Amino acid sequence: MTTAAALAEFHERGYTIVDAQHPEVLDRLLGEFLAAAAELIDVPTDQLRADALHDHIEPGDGAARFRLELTQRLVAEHNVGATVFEAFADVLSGLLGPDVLSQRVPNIVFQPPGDPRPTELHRDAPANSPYEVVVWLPLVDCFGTKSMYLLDRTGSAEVMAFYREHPDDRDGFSERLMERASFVEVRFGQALLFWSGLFHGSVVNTESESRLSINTRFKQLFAPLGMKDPFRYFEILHTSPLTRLGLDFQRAETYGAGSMPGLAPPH
Amino acid sequence: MADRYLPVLLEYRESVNPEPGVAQAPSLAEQRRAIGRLVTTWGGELGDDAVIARGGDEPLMIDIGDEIRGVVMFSLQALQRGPAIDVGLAQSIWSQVDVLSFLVEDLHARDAQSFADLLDMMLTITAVVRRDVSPEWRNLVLSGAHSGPHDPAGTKR
Repeated sequence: MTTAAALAEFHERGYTIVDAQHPEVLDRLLGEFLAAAAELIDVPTDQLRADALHDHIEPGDGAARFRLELTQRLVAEHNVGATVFEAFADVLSGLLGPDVLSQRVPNIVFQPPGDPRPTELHRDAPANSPYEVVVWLPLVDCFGTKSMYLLDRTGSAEVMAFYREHPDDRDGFSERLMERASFVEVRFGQALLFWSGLFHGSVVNTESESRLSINTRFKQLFAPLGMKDPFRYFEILHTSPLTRLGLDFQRAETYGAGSMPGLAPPH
Repeated sequence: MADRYLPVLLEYRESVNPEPGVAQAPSLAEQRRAIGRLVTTWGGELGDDAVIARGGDEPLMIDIGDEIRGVVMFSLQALQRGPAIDVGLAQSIWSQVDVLSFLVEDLHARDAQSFADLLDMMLTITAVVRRDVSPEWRNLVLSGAHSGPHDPAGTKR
């Protein structure tokens, strides 16, 4: 699919599934995940497969603890957001432009078979900004209940309209939800890019393999904020030359002295 | 002798913390203890003094002694004035210390580049917040006049 087609599909459906522009970046990322996981569970890296991690980790609390420790390790040692952006740079730049905020701490999800803690149905906005794109990046091939479900733009709008008209009709809401929800098939090497206004979630993984995935968010630097504290949630990933000039100008104007002591040249 | 840091505590206006799952806003003593623990991990210690910020429209007055290596604020809200962050004050503080940190946000400027990155966030987020709360912006969004002619993907509504 061309970048233009992916952007058009994203606008029409609220999501698109795209191949990595730089698959080698994802191979490297998976290697880093497996190396970190191998250390955490004390298994040689060459004996570890991402979709067989459940052979070494108990579901429930064990899986939750592993996920937390893996997140801490990877966030401390790697800029996961920058790597994810690099792998899908063309489509993400088309959605966001050159001035980009990246989620500081990406979410890492480990869902072994039978794990009783799937992600409840929700949509990210309005807690998050409706100007954000979510990148759901599996590090294994995802299909069936090992994957996630979502409602497209029309379906999300329909179930939201039903909820507003019938706020107490939970059965009717669930019925409409299941009619419109579809599980996505996303292979390793691809990502699901979806708008923060779409309903989505997951169910108990009844497949025989584990799911290991990342979800992280990007937002245009000057787009309206959601309710989350931007300083805790985001960091600047890219700025355009024009934005850098503007920021330099503002710094100097604010400080009132043309240039600021101790400041390095702009990044 | 250990490096000394000046804590800037935040007097919350309401007793209930806006943070989900936390019943009460942290007291000044609790904030000081938390900042103390942080600087201890850096091999430093707190000075005897503390600055108390009240947020809102009240400007933060801060006097940094010569012996102070860095300033650690409990929250970035200490620099807030109305909807904006007092960027000029952040720059002024930075010109006097080697470290400027915000505990809640887990933001730590320890060199010129990390302070420049922090300042970029302050400047852009302040600009965005000012625009988002303005009636002109609300009118623009509601009018639907934001659909421009540039539409490389052919997705214009």
